[in-house]
Amino acid sequence: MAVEKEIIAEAEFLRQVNSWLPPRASQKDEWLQELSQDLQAAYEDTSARLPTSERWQEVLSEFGPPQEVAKNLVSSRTEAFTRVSYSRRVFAYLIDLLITISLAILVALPIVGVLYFVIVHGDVLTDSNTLAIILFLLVVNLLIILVIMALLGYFVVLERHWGATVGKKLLGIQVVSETGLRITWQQAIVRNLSKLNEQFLLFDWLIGWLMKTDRQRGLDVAAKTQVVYNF
Amino acid sequence: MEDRIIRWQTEFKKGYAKPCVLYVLSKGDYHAYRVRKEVQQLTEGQIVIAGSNIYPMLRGLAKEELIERFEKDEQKLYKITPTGRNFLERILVDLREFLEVFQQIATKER
Repeated sequence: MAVEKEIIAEAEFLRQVNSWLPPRASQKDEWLQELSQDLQAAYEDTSARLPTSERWQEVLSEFGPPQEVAKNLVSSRTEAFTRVSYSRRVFAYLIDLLITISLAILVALPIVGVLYFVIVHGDVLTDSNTLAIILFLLVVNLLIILVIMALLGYFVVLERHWGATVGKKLLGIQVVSETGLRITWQQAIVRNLSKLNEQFLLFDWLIGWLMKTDRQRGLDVAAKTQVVYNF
Repeated sequence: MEDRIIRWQTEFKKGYAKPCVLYVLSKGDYHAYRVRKEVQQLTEGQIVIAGSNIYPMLRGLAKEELIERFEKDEQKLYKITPTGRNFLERILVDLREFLEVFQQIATKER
């Protein structure tokens, strides 16, 4: 019974450590295997000193919080801190732009089709029907919001979930925290706010350049993120 | 005051952790957790490598090719390399000279 509980507790700890590791780190499984082995060794070690109920607690406090453990696992990989040149990132962005534009068209096209049908065949705008006009404007605005969400969502979700967008994946680069850990939702959102349009992005890059950062955009600095090579 | 003493202690002890790890591995092949325990025992609790800090330390030593990681019976173990052995010998000589000087200073002040 107790043993079963310990196995669950260990799995949960490993899961938490894993959730902090960059999704694209290739040696993740190996690191976790070693950690699991050491956790078990530590657990064995407590058997002489402590009653069963306190052993696991002791092991956990010995290893420290999952985030710290994850940080220590990645910290020796210099690749986790070697930042990618702006030019490589621009190439990745161009690929992503192509994808997001297609995505936006795909999302917008059916709605535009419906609107067109309503306007041309429904005589909505020529009617002095205020409710219809309000509804029409609502749909147009909703459409714009939807497209923006799709654009930003693409970067935010993929970077948080996979550590890279399709463009970044193809160019062998990934987004990680300045600590080398996986980025949080918050970090993913903040660092991608300037991807709303190209002028923002250029401005964002300019700020990073003026701040003499090591290959970070202004929002990378704000979100404490960096783009590094795969490791 | 007490806080600062502890911080100073941690600072100067830090430098000895790496030689200790190397020394422990010169006596046998161990997995990461065991290395930590051995260092603690060897130094009578003077040097305790906290939490998971052992991992970057071992990886650092492996990157310098002073130790090597290998697998045996599905266990991930570490062993010292010939370079590591020579290195340790040299470092221990230097440490001895260094500690002799400090011992003199410390005993003078007693």
